[in-house]
Amino acid sequence: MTPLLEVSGLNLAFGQRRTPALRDVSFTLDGGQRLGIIGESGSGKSVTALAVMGLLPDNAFLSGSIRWRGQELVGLGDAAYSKLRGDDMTMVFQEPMTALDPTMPVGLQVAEVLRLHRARSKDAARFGASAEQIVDNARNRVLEMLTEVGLPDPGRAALKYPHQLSGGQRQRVMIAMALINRPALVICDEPTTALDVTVQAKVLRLIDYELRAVQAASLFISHDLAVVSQVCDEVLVLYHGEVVERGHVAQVLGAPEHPYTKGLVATARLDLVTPGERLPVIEDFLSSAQLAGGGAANG
Amino acid sequence: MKRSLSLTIGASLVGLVAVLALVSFFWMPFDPNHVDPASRLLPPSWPHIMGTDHLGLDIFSRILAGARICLLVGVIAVGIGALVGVPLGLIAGFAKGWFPKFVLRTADIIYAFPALLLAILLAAANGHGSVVTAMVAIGISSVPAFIRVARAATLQVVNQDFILAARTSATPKYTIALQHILPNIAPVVLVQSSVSFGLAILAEAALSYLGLSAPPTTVTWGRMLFDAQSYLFSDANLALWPGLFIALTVLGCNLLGDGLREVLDPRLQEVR
Amino acid sequence: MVDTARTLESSEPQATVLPEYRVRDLTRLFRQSGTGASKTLLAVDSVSFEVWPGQRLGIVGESGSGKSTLIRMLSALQLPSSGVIEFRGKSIVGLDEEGLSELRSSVQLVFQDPRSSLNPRWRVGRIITEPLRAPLLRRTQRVPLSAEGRQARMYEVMEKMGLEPEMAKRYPHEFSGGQRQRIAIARALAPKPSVLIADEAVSALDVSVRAHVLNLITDRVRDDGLTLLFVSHDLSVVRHVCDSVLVMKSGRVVEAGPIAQVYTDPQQRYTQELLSAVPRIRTQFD
Repeated sequence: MTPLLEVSGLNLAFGQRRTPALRDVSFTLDGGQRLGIIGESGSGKSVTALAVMGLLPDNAFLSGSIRWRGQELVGLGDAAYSKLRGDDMTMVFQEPMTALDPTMPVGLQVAEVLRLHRARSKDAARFGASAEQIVDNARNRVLEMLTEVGLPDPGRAALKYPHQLSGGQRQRVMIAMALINRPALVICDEPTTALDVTVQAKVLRLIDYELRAVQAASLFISHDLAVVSQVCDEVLVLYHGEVVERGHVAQVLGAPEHPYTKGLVATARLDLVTPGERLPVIEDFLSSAQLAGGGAANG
Repeated sequence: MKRSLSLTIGASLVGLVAVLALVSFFWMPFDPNHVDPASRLLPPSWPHIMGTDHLGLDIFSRILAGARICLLVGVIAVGIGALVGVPLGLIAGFAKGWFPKFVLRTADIIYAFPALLLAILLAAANGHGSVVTAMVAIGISSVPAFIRVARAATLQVVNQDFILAARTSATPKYTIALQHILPNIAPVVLVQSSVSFGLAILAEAALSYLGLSAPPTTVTWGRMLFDAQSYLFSDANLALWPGLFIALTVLGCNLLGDGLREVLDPRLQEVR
Repeated sequence: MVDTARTLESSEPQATVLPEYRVRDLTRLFRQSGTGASKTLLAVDSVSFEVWPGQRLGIVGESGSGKSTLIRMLSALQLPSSGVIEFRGKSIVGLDEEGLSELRSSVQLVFQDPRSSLNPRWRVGRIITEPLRAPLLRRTQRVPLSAEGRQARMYEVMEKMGLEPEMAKRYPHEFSGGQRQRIAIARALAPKPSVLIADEAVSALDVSVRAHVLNLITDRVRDDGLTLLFVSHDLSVVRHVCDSVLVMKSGRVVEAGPIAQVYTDPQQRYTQELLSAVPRIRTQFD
């Protein structure tokens, strides 16, 4: 059986100087599987997501292969890509304030995603639905989705503009937008990094629940091991644009092999350190050669 | 420094006008005010490479001489606009209380007066129009744009934490304004300057055309257009050259503004 | 309300020592504009506490709990609507900058987002020495007055923050988030403050970088004998650097006490929620 997403030998460089951002990155993702991508800023985790979504800037040089249900995506035209995006493959961004349109009520923005990829499609026309019915259906679906992501008073919230919602509520709207078309893959790029811990906990539970409900696969990108371990089955550790470790979450986080992963795990375990004692840092785990040698990304 | 096509083209066009103006101080093929009835209304030919007008004046020489006034007007008008507008806009964005409101309302009122009306008023007060009244009128009418741009940029900067950090270290307000805010709003002021420069040149041309600027003996491109209008259908040559140079200069200023915006936009600076 | 007394029993010294801060019934209202009827928002609602020299006080709460407004009032960047703030026994409410010289030379802030807290058009060296050049601080004679003295102090704090001397010549955007935050802390330490206020200083950093910055803060606080006010939404971080904690919700202090006590045995439901929300690494799976 072909995997849902198969990335192999992905190399990525930026700009005229061809600063390398990814080196020989390979992984596969089956339907419904959740893969966490972990690394520090500059490790290449976000650009991996952008590469899969076909959203890299013009100065990016990409080589290697990204296969979506067996279809090659590297070099695919933008028109073909946009059919895939938003329908089969969606994304939840870190900062919902900038990812949402500030001039449009959030309900409309969710409806927009639905309209673009569903309403005009086959079933509406085939069953000869009237325009009113389509609008009604869309409205009901949007409200249903906003209720599902736990927005209080969805009828009223749908009419609000992004700046009238709290950070957590905006992220819920983003999740509604990402899931309303029942995609096969949801890419979450640091979806809770901008949120408070209590809100983060709720949003993580929501993402977990929604992904399960839709049976969507997910690429979950975060610098926070704890967050990834809450949501994912498998984890991929990126360091300076290279995959240094991959495996089941319990195995990688419980018994990390690569020194960098060991360092990451140690720094995340604040609870194991006596208050006031020196916290372990990544550098404790890497030899100076490894620190100097990995200069792939401009970390 | 990033490359930008509009910056290159814009800077070249404005540079060309500056070169013309400089050259005019050292060398002109003919005296731009030397009337020569024998060679009037000549088409472009040697030695009058752009032809001559209805008084037999050499058009190329007059274009060279006109470049001076053109640049002078731009520099003085933008100078007035920026020197008055930027400090007021900065204070309006930074200070609290009645003063910012007062500045903004005053700017609105000036905004409502076209440069033309101001020029007429100043010319009337002065007895006759001159390059100076035109420049001052254009300068005053460009002040509100500078106030608005400087204030908007200041409002963005004052919300940054480094302003708070400066305040917690007891950095005085004027130091914050001059050393923190000014360098950060400089790019938008520069962009506005180049746009205002183009507008000023256009406005001066219009005032010259209406006879509200330079007297007939002073050569300006707008004046040349004015003189050319009776010959528009017989000798389009007369209108073509000053019109072309005004258009190129204004285009150059606008492209320069766009280019500066691209290069100096701080949001684009940190792109990896 | 909660008995704030519980906080202080452990750390209360002899009566001869003045608290760094004494805060009584501090309240701050915001008028919410936009709607026709003037709505008011109680950002900080009758908060009282003391901060003793050498204390490391954590202030915990979600965004909107009023913790940022509180520390802005403590650093005299914002005026309270009512209440008392005393710094070393003297009220600081409504004083002009001249009157605040004691506070300004003793209290420094570190902000959450080092992209916004460092002037992008200044070189790092100029950023770090900014507090040393302020006339008000120079008049207190507590900062080096000569250019050489300033430079020496700059290299000293840069070294303490693990920054290379050559970095002084570079601009903030050339640095990573963790390095920028170290630059911001170096600036705060330059005038040798006795109180350091950190407003979500590690929240915007990667987990792995966070450990490094926390170590540096802990070292400075211990070696320089600083009083620390550490604002965070993450109780596990507060537990690591602080000895006592105030938990804030909707502008009020809902729980206060020694950190060990609050962390291991939270009394209020809200504190329990905050604690359980801190994500933990799952290493056991069903």
